[in-house]
Amino acid sequence: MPDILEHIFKYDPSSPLLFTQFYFWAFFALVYAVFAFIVSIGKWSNGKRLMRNAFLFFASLFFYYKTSGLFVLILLFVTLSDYLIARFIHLSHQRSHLHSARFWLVVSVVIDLGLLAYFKYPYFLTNMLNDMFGLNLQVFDVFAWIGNGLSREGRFSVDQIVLPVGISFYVFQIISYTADVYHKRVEPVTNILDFGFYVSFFPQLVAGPIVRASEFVPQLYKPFALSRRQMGMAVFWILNGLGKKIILSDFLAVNFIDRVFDNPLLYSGFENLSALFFYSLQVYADFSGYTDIAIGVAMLMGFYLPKNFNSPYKAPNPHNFWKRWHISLSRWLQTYLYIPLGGNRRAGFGTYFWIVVISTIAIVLTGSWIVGTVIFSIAIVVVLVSIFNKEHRKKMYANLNSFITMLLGGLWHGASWNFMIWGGLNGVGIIVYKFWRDMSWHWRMLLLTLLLAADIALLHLYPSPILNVLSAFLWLVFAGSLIRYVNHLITAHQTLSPRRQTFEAGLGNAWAVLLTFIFITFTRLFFRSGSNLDPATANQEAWETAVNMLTQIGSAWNTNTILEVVLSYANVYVFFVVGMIIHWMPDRFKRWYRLRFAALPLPVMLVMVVLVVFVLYQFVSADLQAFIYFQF
Amino acid sequence: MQHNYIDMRNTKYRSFVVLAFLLCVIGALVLLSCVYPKEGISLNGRELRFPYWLEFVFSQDTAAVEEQKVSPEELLEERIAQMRIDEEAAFLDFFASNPARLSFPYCIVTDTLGNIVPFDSLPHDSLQRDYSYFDDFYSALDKADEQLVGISHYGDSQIEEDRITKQLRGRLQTQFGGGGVGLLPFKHTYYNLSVSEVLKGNYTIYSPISYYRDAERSSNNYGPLLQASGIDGTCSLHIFPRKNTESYSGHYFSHAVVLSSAGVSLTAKDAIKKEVSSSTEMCITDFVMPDSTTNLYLDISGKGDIYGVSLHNSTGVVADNIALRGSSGIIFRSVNQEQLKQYFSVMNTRLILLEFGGNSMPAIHSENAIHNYIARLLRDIEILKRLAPDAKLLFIGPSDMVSLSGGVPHTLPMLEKFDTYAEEMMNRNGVAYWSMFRAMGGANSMVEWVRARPQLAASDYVHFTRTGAAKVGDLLTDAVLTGYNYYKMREKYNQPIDSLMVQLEDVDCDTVDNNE
Repeated sequence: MPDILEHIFKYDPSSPLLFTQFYFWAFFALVYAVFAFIVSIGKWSNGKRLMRNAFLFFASLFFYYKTSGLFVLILLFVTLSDYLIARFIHLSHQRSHLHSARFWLVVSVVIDLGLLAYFKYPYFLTNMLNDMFGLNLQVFDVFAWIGNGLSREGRFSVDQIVLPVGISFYVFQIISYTADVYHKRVEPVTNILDFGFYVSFFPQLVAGPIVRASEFVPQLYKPFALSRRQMGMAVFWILNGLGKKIILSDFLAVNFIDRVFDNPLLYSGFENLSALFFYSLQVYADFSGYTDIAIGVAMLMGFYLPKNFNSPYKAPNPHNFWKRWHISLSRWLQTYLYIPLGGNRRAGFGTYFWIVVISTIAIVLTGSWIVGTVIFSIAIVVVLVSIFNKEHRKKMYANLNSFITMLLGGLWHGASWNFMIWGGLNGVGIIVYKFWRDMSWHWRMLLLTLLLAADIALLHLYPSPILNVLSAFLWLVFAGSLIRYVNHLITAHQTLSPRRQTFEAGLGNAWAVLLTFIFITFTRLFFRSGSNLDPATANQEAWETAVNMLTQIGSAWNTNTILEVVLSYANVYVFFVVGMIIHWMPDRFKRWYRLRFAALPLPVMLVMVVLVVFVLYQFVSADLQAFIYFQF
Repeated sequence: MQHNYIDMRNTKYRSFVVLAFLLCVIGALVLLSCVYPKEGISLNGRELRFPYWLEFVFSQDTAAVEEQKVSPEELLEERIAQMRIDEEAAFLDFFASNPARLSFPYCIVTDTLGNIVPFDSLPHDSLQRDYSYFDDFYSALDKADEQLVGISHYGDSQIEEDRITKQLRGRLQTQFGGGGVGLLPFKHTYYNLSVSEVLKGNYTIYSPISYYRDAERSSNNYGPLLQASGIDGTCSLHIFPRKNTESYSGHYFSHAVVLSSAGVSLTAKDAIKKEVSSSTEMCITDFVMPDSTTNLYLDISGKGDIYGVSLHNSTGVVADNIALRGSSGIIFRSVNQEQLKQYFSVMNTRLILLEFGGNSMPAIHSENAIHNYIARLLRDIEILKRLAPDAKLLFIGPSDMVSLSGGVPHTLPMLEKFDTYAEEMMNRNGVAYWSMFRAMGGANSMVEWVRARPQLAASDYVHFTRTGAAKVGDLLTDAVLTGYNYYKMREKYNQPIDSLMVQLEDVDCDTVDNNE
C-alpha cells in the first residue's frame, strides 16, 4: 500500500501526468468529483467561487508537481511576484504615477524573462561568454545549490540546469496579465487564489494555449455552466485530441519519423523527404491534439480556452499560416512584441536593440562574424531605405518588425541555430509573400525566371544537395506559376462565368495551399532537428541533423526503391494520407460531424468513447515497425 | 435536427451528470478490461489487445523496464569503473565476469594419442579458455613501429559511417602508431565520418549483397570490400578529410593502395607508383606519398574494376570499416576468395572483427533457427580463417534490439539465447566473442539507451546514434586493450599462464593500468 501511495503522490520524472495516460484521467475524475460537489452545493456566491478556484489551483499545483517536481516552487514564485506587481501597477495607476507603473512593469518583465532565460538559455549564454572572452565557465544551478544547502544533502545536481516543463507557456501567460493590467485592459485579480488558478489551470499549463488575462480572468468570476451540446463537444474534442496524438503523432513518430531524424544518413532521400512531410503532420497532430484535449477538459469544467489551431495546412500563404498555427503564441507575439516594436508604423528603440542582439546571437551560434555582419547590414540597409523612401516606409518597418518577431519567436522555442533559421525562414516567407502579393504577374514571372536561371548556373558551378533541393522547389513554383500566368494572359480579356471563376479560384487556392505546405514542411527540418535535445550539445547536433537530412534529400535518391519503401511502410503512408485528407476537409463538413457527435444520446456517446479508446489502444500496443533497409 | 441543437444549447447540465458520465466511461473501460481475453483476439492475423485493468493502474512501460533503473551513463561508468577495478584486482576475474569482456575461445583438448577430443564429449566445467589467443596480434601491435598491422572490421549497418571502427582505429593508432582510414570504396555508398570524396566520371557499382547486384555480371570479383566499381573511360577521385571533424590520425596517410582489375591505368598526384601485385585476380598498386598527407588525387582510365583504395602509413595500425548493409554475414563464400586472401596478405591483416546477427534477429523465432544461422555463419568464418591464416577472429554479437509488442518494450524474444549460443559456438570454433548485448546492459538496455540524453540509440530501438556508437567503440576498444595489458603482464613475468594465475592477485597495479 505505501508503494501505491508513493506512486500516486511522489514525483517520478519517468511518469509525468500526460493526457494520454490512465493516471491523468483518474486524476481528472477525482478532481471533477470534488469540483462537482463544490459547484453543486448551495447557491452561487463569492465564497463558493473562491472555493472552486482555490481547489482547482491546488489541484493544478499537484498536477504540475507530478509533471515537473519541485519546479512547482518556480511556478508559485512567479505567481506571487506578478500578483503583487500587478497590484502595485494598479495602485500606481490609481495615484496617476505612470512612471511607477512602468517601473513595476519592467520589474515584472525582468523577473519573468530572467527566469525564462535562466532555465532556457544557460548553455547558450555560457557558451557565448566563453567564446567572446575566452573563458571556461560551466553551467551552475543556483537553485539546486540552495536546495542542497537547505536539505543538507547532495540531492540535486548543480552542474546542469533542467528546463521546467511548460515554463515558456506560463511565463508568457503571466507577462500578458501584467501587461494587460498595465494597459488597463483588465482589472487586477484581487485574490491570490483566483490568480493562482488563472496561472496554473492544469489543462493548459504545460503546452498552452497561452491564455491571455483579458480572455480568462472574466471567467474566474462566472458560475459553472455547461449546456448539453457543450458537453458533447467537450467529449468530442478530447477524443479528437487523443486520436490525433496517438495515431497521427505517436504512431507515425515511433514507426518512421524518429528513426530517420535520429540517423538520417542511414536512410534514402525519399525516406528523409517522407519523414519530413510526416513530421509536418505529426507536429501539428501532437500539438493541436494536446490543445484539443485541454480545450475539452477545461470545457467540461465550464471554462473556455481559445482556439489554438485552425487547420493551419489550409493556409494559402505563410502569412495566413501564422494566423492559423499556434494562434495564441502568434497573437501574444503580435500584441506584446510586434506592436511595442513599432508594428507597421515605426522602427523604435526596440527594433534597433533587437537587430544588435540578433546579430550577436547569430555570431555566437555560427561562430562566424560574417553571418552576424550580413544580418546587421541587411537590417541597416532596410532601415536606411525606410528613412529615405517615404513611400515604402511603412511596409519596410512592418517587414523589419515582423522579421524580428519571427526570429525571436524562433528563439523562444530554444537557443539553437536551427530555431533561429526556422524563425528566419518563416519571417522571409511572410515578407516574400507580401512582395509577391503586390507584384503583377509579369514581374512575378520575370523574377522567377531570373531566380531559376541563377539557381541553374549555381548548380552547374557548385553542385550541391542544398541547391538540388532549392532547384526542385523553384521548378515547382515556376511550373505552377507559368500555368497560372498563361491562363491569366488568355482569360485577361474574357468574361468568365461565375462557375469558372470559382473553379479557377479553387484551383489557384489549392496550388497555393500545396506550395505553402511544402515551404512550411521544409522549415520543419530545422524545427524538428533542434527539438528534444540535450541543451549542452543541441546546437551542433541539431545543425548536423538538418544538414544530413538536406544532403540525403538533395542527393541520395534511388527511384527503384520508392515503391518498395512505400509498400514496406504502407500503414505509415496510409495514415499520413488519411490524416492530410481529414485535415483538408471543408470546415463546414467538420463542424457538421462534430455537431452530430455532440447530439448523440449519452449512452451512445459512452459506447463511442469506449470504442474509440479500444481502437486507440490498438495503436498504443501495436508492434514496432521492423527496420527495413533500402539501398541508395 | 436544427431544433434539437437549439434545445441542446439551452439544456444546462449539472456537473454531477458530467461526473456520472466520466465514471461510467471509466467503469465501462474497467469492465471491458476484466472480460477481455488477456491474450487478445486475433482478427485477420492482427492481434487486438486490451490491457487488464491492473495494467491501467501500474503503467506497463514502467513495469517492463523496471529492472533498468540505472541510466546508460551510469551503466557505462559502472562498466568502466568495474573494468578498472577488475584490472587492478585480477584480469581473469575480468575475463570471467565483466559484461564488457572478451570471451576467449576454448583450448583444444587432445587425448593421449594426440587426437582432438570433441568439446561435446567433455564436461562444460572442464573447458579451459585460451587466454593467449590474441597473443600473436598483440605481439604484432608491439612491433607496429616496423610493420603494418591490418585490422578488417566487417559488419552490418550498425557500423556504417565508420562507426565503432573509428574509435578502435583512433585509439590503437594513438597507442601503437599508424595513420589513414584503411580501405575505402571507390564510390562511397554511405556517409563516412572520417573522410569525404569527390568522384567524377562514369562508373557502375556492383555488390553481391545489395541492389547494385547485377544479374548479368558473371564475375564474382568484388574485392575485400565486397563492392566493386566498374569503369569504362576516365575517372578522377579526390579523397580528403571530412570538413568540420576533429583532426585525428585516420586523416593522415603516406600510402594509397589501389585494388583494381587488370586493364585499369592509375596515376596519383605527387606520388611514386609501385606495383605490388599484378596477378590475374587483383592488381595492387601502392602510391607512395612524398610525405604524410591528407588528400589523395587519383586519375583512373581504361576498362575494368576498382575494388577499393586503402589509405595508411607504411607502418602502424590500419583499420578498415567494411559495412555491409542488410547482410547476415554469410557472404564470403559467394565472392572471389583469392582476392581477399591477397588483400589480407598484403595488408598483414592480424585481426578480423565480424559484427553480424542484427539483420537476422527479427526473423529468428526458434532455437533451431539460431543453430542453423550460426552453423552457416561458422562455415563462412572457416573460409576467412583459411584466407587470413595470420589473423585472429573476433565475433561481435548483435546489440540489444527491442520491439514494442503489445505496447510493452522488450528485447526480441530470442536475442539473449542467440547471444549465449553464438558466444559458446564461436568459442568452441576458435573464434573470440564480444557481446555487445551484454556490454550495453543486457535485456531492455536498448530502451534506456534510446531514452538517454544525449540519446545513445535511435528510436528504431536497433541502431545507435553516433554518440552511442562512439560509446560502444570505446567499450570494444577497452576490451581489446585489456587483453593487451594482460598479454603485457604475462610477457613481463614471462611465465606460463597456469602458474601466473596463482599470482595474479598480487599483480602490480601499474602493470595492469592500461589504456590511457
